Amino acid sequence: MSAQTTVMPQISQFLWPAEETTSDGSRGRLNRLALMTAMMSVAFEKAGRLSRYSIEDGFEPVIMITGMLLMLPVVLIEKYSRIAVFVFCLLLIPTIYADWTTYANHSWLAVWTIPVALLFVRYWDAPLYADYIRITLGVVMLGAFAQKVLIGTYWDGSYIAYLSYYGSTTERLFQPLCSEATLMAPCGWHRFVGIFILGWQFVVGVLLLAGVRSTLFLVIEITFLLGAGLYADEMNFQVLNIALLCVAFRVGMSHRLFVILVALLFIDMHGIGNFIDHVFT
Amino acid sequence: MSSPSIVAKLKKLSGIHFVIFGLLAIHTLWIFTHLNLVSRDLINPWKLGGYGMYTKPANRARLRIFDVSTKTAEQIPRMTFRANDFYEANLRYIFRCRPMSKKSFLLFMRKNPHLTNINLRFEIREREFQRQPIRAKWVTHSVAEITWLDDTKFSYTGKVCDTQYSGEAEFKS
Repeated sequence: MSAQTTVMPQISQFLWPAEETTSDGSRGRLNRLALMTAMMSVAFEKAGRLSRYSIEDGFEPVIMITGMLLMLPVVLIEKYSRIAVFVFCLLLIPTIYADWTTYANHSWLAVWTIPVALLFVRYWDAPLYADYIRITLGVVMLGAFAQKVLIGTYWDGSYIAYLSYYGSTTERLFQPLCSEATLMAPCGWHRFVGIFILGWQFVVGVLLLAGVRSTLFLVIEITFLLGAGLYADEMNFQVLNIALLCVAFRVGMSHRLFVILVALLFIDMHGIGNFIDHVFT
Repeated sequence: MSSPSIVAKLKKLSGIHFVIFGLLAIHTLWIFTHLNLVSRDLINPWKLGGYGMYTKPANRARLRIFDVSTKTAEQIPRMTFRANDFYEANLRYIFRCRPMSKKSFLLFMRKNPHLTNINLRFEIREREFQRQPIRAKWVTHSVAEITWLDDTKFSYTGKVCDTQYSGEAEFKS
């Protein structure tokens, strides 16, 4: 009997749905902060492109990005939140139209998720919107898993071996695990990392589709996404994923996590690898 | 027994539910389509919203142009021609087996009048992931040549993904 009571709470901590923020006002505010963070990742991605801006491009990109950034704080205000999301989406349309062929995958994920909030009068209180985000993320995870299986570069570890020797500063993380011979036939460690990533992506996709909303699962997934973002030197996509997960799990965005993510977005504008190189040289 | 309960459940659903189901269905269907196109090497897995990034090195397709009027076929330095319109008209080289379009050649000539009446070879190169040894090697993927017939007319022939194409174009500067 005592063994049962000690084991059961531990299991419930693993499987119990993430605790929803209790007071309505607090829940709504944190959910709006989560969506604002997702939108911020999009705005920062566009702002990063201004480094290649020339006067020949006209003033439209500058006006659009300024407009997007100005809309972000308005998203937090309950009364105007939906309008801010609407204006933000409106500003996004010209870039989608102009860049649809080379639009990044994470930008597409934003297109599939952020504008859907407009369907709900109070998207921050709408369980259906949270479920939509959850299922979309599950489908995306399984889609990414299927792409990796199809090309086969994770199953045999060849892509990890490639990144370890030809990747950017952070992508060379797993280089010490294997000698250069891994470029002829991927070593066991590189294959293990590849298969682990595959397995993880599959499990996360299935758990999201199954509706598991354990806090532990959320924390592990956020940690994994941050790790993956550091490894691939691509934090923008991970910030979007994390923010959407916070909406999907109906817990909203904690202030501490928000501060970390904003800092990462700023670092990401110059590249984490460049930041590391700058610090260590 | 079960069908009336399903009907009752469906009746409880609002219009928004159906929109949500529709969006999820379209998104999933597109991911399957994208997978199919990638499996046939027709598109760049990094683009078009199929979540195939980080499956192999990015293609990074690039254009090279050679003057084939000369015997040695000299490469024209990148800084001496403008190819942005050509890039856009060829949908940024994302559809790998798409022939270079007539419109793109005309736009190229309009933007680069100093290259008119010169027979040119256009090469689109991209990085190909190879496993023995593991590396990303630049390979020429798509080729087209334009030959001037007179001051205002040129013909073009090209090859991409084992498909040959040709045509003629009237150029008015």
